[in-house]
Amino acid sequence: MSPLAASRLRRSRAVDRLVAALITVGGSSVLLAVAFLMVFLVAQCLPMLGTGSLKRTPPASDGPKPVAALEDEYRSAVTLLGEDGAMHVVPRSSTPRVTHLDGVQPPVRQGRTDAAGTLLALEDASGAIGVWAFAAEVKWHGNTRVIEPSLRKIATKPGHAGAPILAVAGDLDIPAVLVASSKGAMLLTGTDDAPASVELMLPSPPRVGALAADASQAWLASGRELAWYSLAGGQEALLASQATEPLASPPTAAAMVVGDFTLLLGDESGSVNAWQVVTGAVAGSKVINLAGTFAGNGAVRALAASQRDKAFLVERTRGTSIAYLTSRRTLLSVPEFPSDSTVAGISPRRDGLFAVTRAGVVHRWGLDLAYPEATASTLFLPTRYEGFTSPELAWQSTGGSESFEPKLSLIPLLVGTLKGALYALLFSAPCALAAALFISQFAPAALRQVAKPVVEMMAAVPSVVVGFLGALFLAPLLQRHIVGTLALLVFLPVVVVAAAAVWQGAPVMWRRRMTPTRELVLVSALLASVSVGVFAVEKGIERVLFAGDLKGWLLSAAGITYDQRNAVVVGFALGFAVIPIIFTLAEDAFSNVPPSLISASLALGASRWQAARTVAIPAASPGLFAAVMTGLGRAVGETMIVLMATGNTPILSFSPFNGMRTMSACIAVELPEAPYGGTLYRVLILTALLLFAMTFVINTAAVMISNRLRRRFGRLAA
Amino acid sequence: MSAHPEALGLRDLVLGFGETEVLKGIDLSVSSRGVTALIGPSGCGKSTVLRCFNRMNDHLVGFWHRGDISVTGRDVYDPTWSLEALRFQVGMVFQKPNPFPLSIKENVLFGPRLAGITETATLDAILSRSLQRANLWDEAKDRLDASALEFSGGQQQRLCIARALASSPDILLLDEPASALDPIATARLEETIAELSQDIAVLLVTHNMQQAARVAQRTAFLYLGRLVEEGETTKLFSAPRERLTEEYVTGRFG
Repeated sequence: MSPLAASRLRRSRAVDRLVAALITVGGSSVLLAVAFLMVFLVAQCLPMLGTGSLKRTPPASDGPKPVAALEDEYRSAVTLLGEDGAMHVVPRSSTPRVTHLDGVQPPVRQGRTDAAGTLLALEDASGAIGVWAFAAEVKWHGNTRVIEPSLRKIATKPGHAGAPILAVAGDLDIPAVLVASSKGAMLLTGTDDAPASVELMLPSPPRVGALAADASQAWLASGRELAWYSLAGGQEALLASQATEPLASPPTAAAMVVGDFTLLLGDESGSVNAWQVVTGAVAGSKVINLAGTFAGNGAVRALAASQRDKAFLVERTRGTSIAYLTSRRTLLSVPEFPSDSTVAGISPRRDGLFAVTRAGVVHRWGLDLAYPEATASTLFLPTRYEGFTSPELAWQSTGGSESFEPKLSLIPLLVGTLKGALYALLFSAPCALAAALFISQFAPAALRQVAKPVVEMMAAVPSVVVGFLGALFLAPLLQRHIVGTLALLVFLPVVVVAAAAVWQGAPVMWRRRMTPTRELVLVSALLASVSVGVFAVEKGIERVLFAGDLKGWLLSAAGITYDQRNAVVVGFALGFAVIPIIFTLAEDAFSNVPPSLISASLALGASRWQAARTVAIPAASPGLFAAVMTGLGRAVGETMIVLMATGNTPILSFSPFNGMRTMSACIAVELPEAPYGGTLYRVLILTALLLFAMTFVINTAAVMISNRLRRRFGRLAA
Repeated sequence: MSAHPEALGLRDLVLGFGETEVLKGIDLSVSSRGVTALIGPSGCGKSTVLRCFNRMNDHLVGFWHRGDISVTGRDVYDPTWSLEALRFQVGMVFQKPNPFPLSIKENVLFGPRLAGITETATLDAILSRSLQRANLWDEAKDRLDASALEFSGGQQQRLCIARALASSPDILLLDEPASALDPIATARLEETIAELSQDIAVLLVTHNMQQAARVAQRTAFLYLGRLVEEGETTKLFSAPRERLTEEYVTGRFG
């Protein structure tokens, strides 16, 4: 070999190696990026599988016989009210402090705290009930934060000689105390200067009771029945219950879930039942309805609800556990819970538990419940939320108040995504497939050269522009011309088929005159005149078929509402984005049909349509299927168009006249607002993972099918 | 010479695509029985002549023609004669076997089904008769529902003949049917062609002069778009009238 040839060979080999290396690096980094994305999404979702954990901290002890206990939101100390009438502050790390409460005559007979952890009602030896406000003041000694819990007396109510205090609630100015009485229970409200009271009537003596946080509703439960009272009305001295419900087992403990919709009632059988008041069959009536049951072993001794979410502590004679209302699940059992506990509670920020024994020993646990509102059942199955009368699939991730119960069902989003994609395909697949068939098999050669690049250019229109036009131009236009549009969708195919049939019967002489160009002009003119004609008689159709008003007719005949931004708009707008994808792939599939097969069928006397129907379409069908699947993958993953044109209402409806919210749009709308690491964040990441999996499966199926096509027809094309 | 009427005829045919003139004035007559071979070097227009008779040229871009093309004495462009009807009468077999990716049976019955024949008995009769005429019956009768793509190349080509015969054509156009086949398959194919030509007219385009000598009663030699010489095969090969023919058949060019 000459030196020149050798050096050329060396150089070309070096270039080969370099290019090969570049391609390898590029290819593997694409794979790596996809794999990383997958791993990231999965890693962000995994914490949702956790059921939470409890961490026990060493117990501390002070002052025997506690009557009530409160904890500050920093969990720095548990503040006990002792029988001795003193406030015992038991900090986590330092020695306990004792402060006598002014004017309290020991021994204190009973004490009760409110659900918010700010009020304490106690009855002392004098027989009067004092209401005290609990506060934890934050002070700074240099760089160290010191939390100073304090109790301040805000009201005094007349006592009822040892009658049990059932509940305390209300604000600091006008606290309300519910005390058992001979007729049922007495609600003591008003101020010290202008006291007020309402007697709640119950046939049998109440065992437990509860008050809403603003004292606007009360619950009483005797051994036989549960009664509900609305206190919002006037100031009658005697008030009968607005709703009652018999009880199967005598109640032992009651607690309101934050939000005041749900009363938790524990009983001797060990069940904790969640009761809600719903509107009854008779107008204006109220009915107590069982919304959930948490079964367990051993009678319920005490209940304590979280102030942050729907978690609650259930203390039973045979073990203590934490449950969650939304998911109707018992999350974990509390290990080493003292069997002689007298007071127990959940820390204000729901990050800890405490329990105090008769001997004054304070047990504490750090609490992490992971993501209790997002479980497989709440994400994918109908769930009965507070304020609902039956289990529903709903998505409403955020609400106005702190006690809002997030509704995180992914089904409306999943259905919305599939609905949007389906309506888009319903419009785009026939259009794109027919166009591809026409362009590849029938069109004059000159048109073929132009049409394909033009249709492919549709894909270059930014989806935000398509979405914008869909939402602000197409949606109002469709609202005005919905009848004409629907009629056109029926008429166009019918007219085309009818015209073809008529043409078949036309004399041979006429048919011989036809050239592809004349064909195109004739068909275009036909379609244009049908469109103009349909819109011209649109009003007439609406008058004859729908009594002049389609939207009114839909509502009265089928109960269907018409949203301006609906699935039809999305079908057109999203379809516009999907058409170029399906068209290009379908056209390729038709071009891959070996011409020898088309020639063979033509030579056997097939017309062009027969050749297309019997040879081109069957031979291209796997490729056509792959094209539609790829279009579906695009429609499922599309964000901008659905974000702008769907209305984003996460409703579960298959109606073409309703909007929807798709998974992609939901992520785009809500992820920027979701606190990092929170439940909503994790659920949205899970949504992203599902979306990724869906498009991945759809696209992989499309690729596999088109590969099969190549194997099947490769032999012939070669 | 022939006692039989004319099956195919060309009168002063000039034909081209766009600017290119491919055939420059051809007169040809093919009798309704026997095999006529079209020979000539590559690009001389043999296949174009063949494709005139079933109007397959019409599908090519820029096609135009002057002069008459007739099949069984009738102009193929007769406006009362539909393209489909013409092609039922004129069968064609291509250079490479091109069976449809269907069963053997459905391949054969493709034409009859297009013609709208639905009676099972008729179709079965057509199926067996076509396969027998194409000498494929023995090989195919037990596997009629098997895919045609399982056949060997030679069998596929005979299947294509059977497919063309299923429409009972009067004329069969063969465009270098043996070019993709091995010698044994070619021999069987030639045997089939010879048998068929007792009933119908066969126009055979071939590159292979021995093949023309073996199967064709008459041979036409085309060169650069002109018909140089046409006559009985034995005469054309042994005592050609034209010098060009002699040079071609003796292998001096081509």
